[in-house]
Amino acid sequence: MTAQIDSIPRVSVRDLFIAIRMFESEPSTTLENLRLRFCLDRNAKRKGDYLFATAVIVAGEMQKLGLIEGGPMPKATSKTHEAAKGKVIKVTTAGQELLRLFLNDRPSAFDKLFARMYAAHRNLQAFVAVIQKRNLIAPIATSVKDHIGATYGSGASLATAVAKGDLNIDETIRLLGQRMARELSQEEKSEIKAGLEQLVKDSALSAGNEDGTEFAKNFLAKFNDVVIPAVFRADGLPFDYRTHRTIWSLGEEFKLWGTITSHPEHSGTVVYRTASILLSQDSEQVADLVFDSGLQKTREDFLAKMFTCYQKLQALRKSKFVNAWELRAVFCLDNRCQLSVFNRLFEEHYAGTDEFSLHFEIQQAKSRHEEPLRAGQRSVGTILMTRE
Amino acid sequence: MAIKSQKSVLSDVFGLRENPFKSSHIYNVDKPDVFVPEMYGEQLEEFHRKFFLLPLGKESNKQVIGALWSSHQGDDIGKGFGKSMLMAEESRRINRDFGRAMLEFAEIGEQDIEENPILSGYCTFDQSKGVKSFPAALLDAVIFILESKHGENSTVHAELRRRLISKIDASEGYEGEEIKQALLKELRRYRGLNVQLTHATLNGFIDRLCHEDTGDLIRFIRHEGIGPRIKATQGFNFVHVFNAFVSLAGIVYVAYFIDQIENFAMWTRKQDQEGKVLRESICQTSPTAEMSSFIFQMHIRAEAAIENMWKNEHLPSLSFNKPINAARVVYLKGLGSTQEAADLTAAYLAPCRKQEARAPSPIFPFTEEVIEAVRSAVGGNPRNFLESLFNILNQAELQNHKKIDLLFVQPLLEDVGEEVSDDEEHNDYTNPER
Repeated sequence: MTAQIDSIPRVSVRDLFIAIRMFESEPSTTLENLRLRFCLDRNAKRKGDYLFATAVIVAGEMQKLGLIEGGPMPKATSKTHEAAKGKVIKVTTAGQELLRLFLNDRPSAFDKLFARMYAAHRNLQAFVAVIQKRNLIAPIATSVKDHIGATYGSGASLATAVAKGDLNIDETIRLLGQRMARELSQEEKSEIKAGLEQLVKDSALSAGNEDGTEFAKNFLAKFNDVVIPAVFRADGLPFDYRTHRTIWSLGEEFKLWGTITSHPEHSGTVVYRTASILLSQDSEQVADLVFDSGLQKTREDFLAKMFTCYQKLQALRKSKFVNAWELRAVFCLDNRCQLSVFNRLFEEHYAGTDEFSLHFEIQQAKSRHEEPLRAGQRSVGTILMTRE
Repeated sequence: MAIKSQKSVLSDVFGLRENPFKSSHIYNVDKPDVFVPEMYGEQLEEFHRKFFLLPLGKESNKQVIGALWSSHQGDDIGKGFGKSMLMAEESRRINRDFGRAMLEFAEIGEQDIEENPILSGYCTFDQSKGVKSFPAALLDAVIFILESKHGENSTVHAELRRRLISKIDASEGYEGEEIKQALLKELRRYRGLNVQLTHATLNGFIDRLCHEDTGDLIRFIRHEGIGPRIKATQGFNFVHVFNAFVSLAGIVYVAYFIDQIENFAMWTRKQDQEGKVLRESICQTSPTAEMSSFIFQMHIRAEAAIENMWKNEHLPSLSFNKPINAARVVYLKGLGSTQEAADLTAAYLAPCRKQEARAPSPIFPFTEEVIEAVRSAVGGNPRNFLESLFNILNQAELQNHKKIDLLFVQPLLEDVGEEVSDDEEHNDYTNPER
């Protein structure tokens, strides 16, 4: 069984708004201008066709959302750059309305754009239906030893096993069930087993030639492509791994759902909603977005809530000093808030109060997947919290 | 040699040899701009009172751990208020006569002045010069003091030696050795000072400190003798030895001004460990703990950068907004009046006036209302004020504009602000938190 190919292009909300702002002074522009604007935004070289594919993808998505019109788009590759760079795209009335909103009421512009994307993408609708009901635990593999098999202590040992075609797939599936804290269904097991057998077969040649670390990195990426669609298929989310990631990051940009990777009780990425998405009766349109656990709400008794999470984590880890980003993950999941909300409130409150005192040790080791927690201009490693 | 254009408003109309201001007025300790104490107004007196007079009034422990803050009202982050210049240039003035002029100005009696000679040093965390740790920075302050001019033709180092020779009545030709013996004897008095006096580098430092060649001593500290690793690990020992040396020479108080402390927080890998060593060295080791003050340059970012380390080590709070700290904190508010701004302007213009030029006022070609317009446009920030004057004079030269009045200046001041804010806004594509 193969992963369903997504209809959501790999765009960021930021790029969509950068593009819409290009129509601030004139109603039309070209794909080349769009490309140059992205280069400027990323402070990247402008020569050649760099970011032309991004410009085409963004323009294509905007056209699908009804924000611009420009007819058929070229293929998003550098080969079409020369012939298609002069292609003109024009803003529509809906695009102008979104631009006006962005300039005058930015939060509403983000909400409006989400509503348009929701209406246009079936995959997004399917995802929203699930995330509104429960959290998703994605067992993303990032470590050969921890996620493929304890016998593979390094990339080189994995490469040797794959080259010989004797990867212990049953052990990998057992580890997967353990990480997801549930027994995998027979269908899931069969799909993953078949996918991994094919992956081992396809990777045998490169396993013999590539550097062990490089091979492990590539293998893990392909491993996730097999596993992630399989474990979410029963939920009606059979997208490929990259589509999942695109949807997760879109949710963070729209502040509607968040992802954490350092929760001590979950071995994998947890995706959880941070706002309520109210839908039309046929569930095909967004009726309203309610940020019921946004900045304002989370700010109320922030340190008291944080202390509760601290105690929970402390009991779990049996240590007075707890890991800063684990504490953030526990807090964000328990309070359904974005990491950015926690970061901001932490910056506001790190000096403590008469009731709560916070003590820090600066960060010694880096979190592998999440940005560091900052207090002042320092990255915090561990936190000790006390209550008077 | 600078080129001379045939027609120049700057020269022909304003009577200036060149634009006296610069595009960037950032303090350079080796080549300082004109120091205008008047621009600090009453705060200069406050600076003297809190960091020198108050400590000198105490008998046994004169130490102050204080801070020099600057305003960060509105969008200002507190840079460009002349903290570095005040710390370094006032230190130089104090070293010139061991604080006599300042004490005289404060109407201290002659006997007290005579009995209370003081020194003041300045240092900064400067990555490009390898100054990344507290001891390395303080050793820079030691160099600053030793090299400072004393009187008309002498240095602080030479004057300290002269006083020591006189005090111990050293035999001619053997002065250096006898000073060294006296210093070693003095050092052994301090039980808490765990310094291995036979250590080759420390011995080399003591030798040079006691002998007359100041250049050799400076080279030894800066380049040849004390390497970066020794500076970082044992640097405080050299500072303690230096303090014992000046104490022996009769100096009763040394103020160390430490600039750019946020850089320390940014670069150090073992902040907590360094903080502990700092506390033990400055607060718990004689003679430093009794006779030396440490005053840190602060602004809002610097405070955030060191706050955790500071709290962890129970070092005295440096916050400006705690009333209890008022006796240890000076808060520079910038140019508070037209007069302060005019004094600053005049001090920059005077050295650049052509000999034959007759200026109708010390601030010509500016008028008081222009000075006030610029001062209020930059919120009293001295650096921004001077840089604005630089741009105004350049603009007048470019446009061949012969009169600098409000009509000419106002649009220039407005343009700057609008452009900056518009640019920032233009690049913001974040979804605001709800």
